[in-house]
Formats: sequence, structure tokens, C-alpha cells
Amino acid sequence: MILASLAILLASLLAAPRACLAQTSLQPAPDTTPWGDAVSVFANKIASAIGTPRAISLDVVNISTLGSTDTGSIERQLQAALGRAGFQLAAEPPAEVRVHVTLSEGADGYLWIAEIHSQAGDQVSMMSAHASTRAASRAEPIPVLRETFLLRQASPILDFALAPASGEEGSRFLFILQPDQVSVLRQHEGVWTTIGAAPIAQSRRWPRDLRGEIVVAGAVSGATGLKVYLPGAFCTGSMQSELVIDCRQSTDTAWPPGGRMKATMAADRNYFSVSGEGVQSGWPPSYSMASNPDDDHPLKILTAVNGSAQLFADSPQNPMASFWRWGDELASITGCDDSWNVLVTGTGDWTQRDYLQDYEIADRQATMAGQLLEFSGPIVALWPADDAKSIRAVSRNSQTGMYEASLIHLYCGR
Amino acid sequence: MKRRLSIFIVAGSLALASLPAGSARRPRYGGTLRVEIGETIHSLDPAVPATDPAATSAKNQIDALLYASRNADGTFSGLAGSGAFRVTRWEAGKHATLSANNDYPGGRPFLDSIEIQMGRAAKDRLLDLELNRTDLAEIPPEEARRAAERGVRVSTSKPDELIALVFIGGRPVAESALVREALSDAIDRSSIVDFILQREGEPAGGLLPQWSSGTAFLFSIIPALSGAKEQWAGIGGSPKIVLGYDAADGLAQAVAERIAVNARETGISLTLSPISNSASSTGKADARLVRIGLPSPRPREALLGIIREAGPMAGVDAAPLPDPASLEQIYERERTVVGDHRIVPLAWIPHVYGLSSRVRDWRPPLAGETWTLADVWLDTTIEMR
Repeated sequence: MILASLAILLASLLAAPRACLAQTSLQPAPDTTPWGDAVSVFANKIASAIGTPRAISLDVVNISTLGSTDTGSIERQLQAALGRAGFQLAAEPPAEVRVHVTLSEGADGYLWIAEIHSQAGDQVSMMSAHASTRAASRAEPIPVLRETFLLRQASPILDFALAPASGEEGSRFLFILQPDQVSVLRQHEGVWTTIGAAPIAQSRRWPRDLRGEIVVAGAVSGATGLKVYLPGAFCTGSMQSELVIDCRQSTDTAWPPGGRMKATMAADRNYFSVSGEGVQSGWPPSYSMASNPDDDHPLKILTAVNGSAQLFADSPQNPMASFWRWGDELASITGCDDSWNVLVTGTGDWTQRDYLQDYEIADRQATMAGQLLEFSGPIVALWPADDAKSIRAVSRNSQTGMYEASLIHLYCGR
Repeated sequence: MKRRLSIFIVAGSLALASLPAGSARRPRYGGTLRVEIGETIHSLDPAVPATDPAATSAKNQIDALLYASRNADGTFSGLAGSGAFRVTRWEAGKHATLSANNDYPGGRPFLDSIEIQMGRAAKDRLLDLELNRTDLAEIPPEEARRAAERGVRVSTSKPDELIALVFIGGRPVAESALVREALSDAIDRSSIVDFILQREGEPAGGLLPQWSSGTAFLFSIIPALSGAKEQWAGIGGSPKIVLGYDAADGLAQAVAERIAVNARETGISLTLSPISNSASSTGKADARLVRIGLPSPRPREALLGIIREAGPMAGVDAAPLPDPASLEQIYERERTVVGDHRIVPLAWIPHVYGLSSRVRDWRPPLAGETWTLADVWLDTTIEMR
């Protein structure tokens, strides 16, 4: 609970440094970017260090991982902010004061350093810098995958679910499934705040690569039902005045991603077994599976433990097609022309950045649709929504180690 | 202040060789990881210390796999079998087999077992990596480029070990500020990195690497030869500096010899003295080359750790810093220590590992961390010889 609250606080701080940085005497430049507020604070520090406004020369060097667009924007805004503060910027030395700014980076993040040289002596002024929002997306072709970022936290996220609050239009609840609890958060003015949590009674050790899925039905405060799927365990719960979860051992509860197939998670591993009454035997153990929406001609794709991604009709013995260079996670989504599409993760391992690629599945072929959607770390969970219009993705940021929950939509320009 | 931006082009120039083709991403269970180390360990009892610093470090890596509790000093302890792996075969000084602990609280490791071969010389480790006879072995940083050129998959940590020259507090020569500054100014740190380390590292002007503090570029790494000559000429009594280094450390010897060349070019009288005792021994030396591992990625903790390690030898006071300390406070402390020239930073070197093509989710440990072998898994679709 404390960890969750800290995570929310950190997420809020990361998402809204604008509020913290607004109390400065220099106004942000009109050309606002994610760095506008930080630039204002930095310009204030430089101005304070120099003292009386006078002629200065300013040069900016970037040795951090910031791109040239950000660097150029920061330099322009810094020039403007110092100009507004009364400093005359000389194109070339000799100016009375020379200010050399280095956009640097350390283990704690971006670090901006101003070396100020004048007849009075040399000074060094520095500050940590944070972007106030995520970078704006660039112009995109259609169809395009769009990420709606919801939340980041330090403790692992296995899955999450959104539910509307009954009788409160636009208000939503977010359920976060973690290894030891389900927490529920409410959104207020764009910030998620934890309002409750229920522990998951754990009668056995979780596998190292723990997977889980949460399904919420109904609006919160109405008849809200929760189902939580974990390896060797199944939980049910409800959320009315408070969140209540009841778990029991179960090795044969079918998980939702199976579609028409009965897919159960191996109790001490990280993959599904496909079996059950009326289901042909011989399906390979798989990490994920996706089914088409056609009841007359059911098809499915399995990403098997042996590394293959194959398209099947009704028999595991005769795959209709194999797809190469696919990652282990995939999920169905409805394409722009109501086609059957699957989103697939990248290959490699979890030390690398990841991406989602949209494929349209037709005529036994997988055709790339649109461009990659990149993530700053591995996608560790990917689950389809019931309406097939969005995907729930959990990734782990390689730089910060934080888990990030996002909804992925296919934008079709309408 | 002299600029030193060029070093950041050198840093990280040897990237991790790309993973072999495959589709895997989610961890797979099973398999045996074959590890080779250069050190020989004679006991896995956490209460029994290893014989030398290198063996202590290697033993700590194995202890980290066997014991769940970590002590404040970075060593491990606790009940045998509380870690991610258990010892199932042990030949002191030669070989260890570790098996996955099914009851490990963090979840059973993905590997079934780890085979550790001890006492393998660097050239043998390199050869075994080339021939796919091992999955994981540490490579000397100066050999990293050659290993990559010979097809070895190389994984490089951030530079997290400082090579520094420490003047021994109390020695008459070391107590002369002019002597210390003259030698510091005479050393060409870039040539140490370029020629001895084969560009696998960064010249160090400060006590913290750029990736940790973000301020390393503010410290000069450019030799000031004319200034050094003048300072030396102004010192009376024709002092002679004896520089000690670990006789068993080939890299330290090469660096010491390079410093001797720089000293000779500047007119500084310096002789070398190999020391065969432990790391803390100084023999008759006025100064000693040391290698100090960065204890933490965080700049405050890292700086304090380095001063704690080298401070007693140098006679530098390890006064505490506020917690948390501001960027300016950390920088000022670092600047003060470096400006005194009792601890003379020379170069930052990374830890370099060779990996077989089937190793997945290997992350070179961050400063102060140990090998995360519980998270490593093997892609069994990759053919091995």
C-alpha cells in the first residue's frame, strides 16, 4: 500500500513537474515544449549567478542522450528567457560574461550545467532537468498504433483493467494486478490516486516470470465483479465500498486469452497448456495465442515455447502458416477495415527495447500494417480487450526500471 | 576550465554484439550455464575470506547466488540454500556445480544449473569463448576489442572501476603539494586509455565517471606539461618518487610504465616498484596505483565510497556528505579532493564479459551489484558445439 502510494506520488511528480517549476520569476517562453519550465528555472539560476543584466555570450553543447530537436529548442528558449530577463546576448565573445551551457546526463537523469566566466571569476551553476510531459508524437501514417499511457510504478504490474464509475460520467477506476495484491485507483484531474487494495493470499511460490490477468465486469459501485488469473490460482472479487478478493488454488481454470481454446497456465512456469474436453490434443505449450472473430472459420495463432509462431485451423498437426521473427507476445485487435489483425512484440530478450507491430492476417499470410510502436523497454505483458478494439500492454522502462501500463489502440483516421 | 568532450565518443565504443537471430523474448526454463573464472576459490563458507582482492570479488559473485542476505559491506551471508542456487558439487579451487533452488523466494531461476570452472587464465577463457566451450567469462578490458574482432559476443558494463594513483600519506615526497600536482599534470590519461586499454574505458579527471555524476567533463584530462616542468623545477632537494603497483596485475604494470614515460618526458624523477603483497600494502612506495570499484551508481554514495577506499592510504578525510546531497555539494567535494592531488584519477575501466550466442537476459551488473544469473536463460534453439 505504501509502495503503491509512493509509486503514484512519483508518477504524479514525473507527470507534472510543471506545477513545481511554475513558481519562478522568469515566464516560460511562448514556444512551450516539454522543457519550457525547466529552461525557465535554469535561466533564473544563470541570471542569479551573473547578477546585474549585461552583455553575455551563450553557447550550448549537448553531451546527453537528448536529440537535436530538444537541444535546439532548449537553446532557443534559454536565449529568449535570458533576453527577457534583460541580458543582451552577443553573437560572439568578447562579451562581459561568457556562459557555456552543457546539457549533460548522470545516473540521476538530465543535468544542465552553466559555466560562467567573467572578470569577477568563474562560477559553475547546475540543476537536474525533467521534461514536463512526454514528447509530442510526430506525424503518423494511417493505420497507426497509438499508446495511451496510464501509469508507471516501481513494483511489478502483471495486468490492469479500467472500469467506469457508475453514475459518474467520465470518471474511471483502474485496477492494478501485482504479485501480492490488487490495488484500485481513481482518476482525479488526470492523476491516479490509490483508494484501496486487497492482498492476494498466496499459498505457493510464484514462478520467477510471474504472469497474471485481471478481468473486471460492470461499473464500480454497481455490481462489479473481478476475476484474477494467476499460475495455479484463481481469484474472484468485488468492488463496492471496498475491494474484496478471494483466491483459491486452481490448476485447471481456463484463462481468457484462449478464446475458443481452453488455455491454462502451467503452475510453476510462464506458458499456457492447451487442452480440455472436445479439444484435440497435441497443441504446443505456448506463451500467447490469438483467435480470429469468424465463428464459421475459426483460426488461431500460437507462439510456442519452441520459438515458432504458427497459424492453425482446428488441428495442431497441420499448421497453415509459420511466421518468422515474431516475439512471444501477441494479441488480437480489429483492423481498420474490420479485418483480423494481431499486434506482435519484438524478438531478442528483455535487455533490449521492444516494439509492437501490427499485422493483418488474411489468406494464410501476415501483412505488416503501419509502423512500429516503440517502447523504452521490454513488453512483459500483452492482453487483448474484450471488445477487440484495444490491447493492454505492460512494459518495463530499461532506463528507470519502472513498470508502465498503457492501452494500445489502432487509429484509423476516423 | 579545459574541455574534454572528446572522451565521450570513446566511451561505449565497443557495443554489445547483437543477439543472434531468433524469436525468443520470454524467458525459457532449463539448461546449464557454463562459466569460467580466472580466480581460484578454496571455500564457499561466507565466514572464510578469500586470499586476495580478485578472489574475494569472485567469491562474492558466487556467494550472491547461494545466500539471500547481503551485508552492509556488500558481502553475503545467511543459511546455505537460501539463495537462488545451491551447491551440488564442489572441488575446492577447481570446479563448482550449482543447481536451481526450487524454493527460492524470488522464484526458481530459469537455469537448471551453473557449472563454474575456476583458475582459467584469460587467454584460455578467450579461446573457450571463441570455440563455444563456455557461455560466460570475464575478459580483460584491454582484450575486449580483439575478442570482438575474433567473433566473441561481448558485453560491456559502464566504466565502473577507477584506476588511480594514490600518494601515501605521511611520506615526505607525498606531502609536497608541488610534487603531487606536477606528477598529476604530467600524466597523459588519454594515451593510457588509447594504447593500454585499447580505448576500452575513459580518461578520468574526476573521481566519478560521467555516466554517474554528469559532471566529469568539468575536470581536465589534458596534460599540462609546461606547467608540470616548471613546478618540478621549482621544488628543492631533487625529490624522487617511488611508484608502487601490484606485481600480479599486468594492466597496473603497463599503466605504471606509461606514467614513468610521462614523468621522464617532464623531467620528474620516478622509479617503479612492483609490490607483491596485498592491495593495502605500500612497500617503500611514495605513491601506489590502485583499482577501486565504484560501490554505487549514485554519485553521492559512489564518491563517499571511493574516498573511504583510497582516503586512509592518502590521508584524505572521509567526511560525510549530507543525505541527500545537492549536485553542487557533490561536485564541490569531488573538486576539493581532486584539487589536492593526493588521489589522482587516471582512467575508468568497464567490466567486459564474453557470452555464448545462447545466453539471454544477461545484464552486466551495475556498480555495486553482482551477476544476475537467476534471471539469465538459455535459448535452446541456438546450436552449440
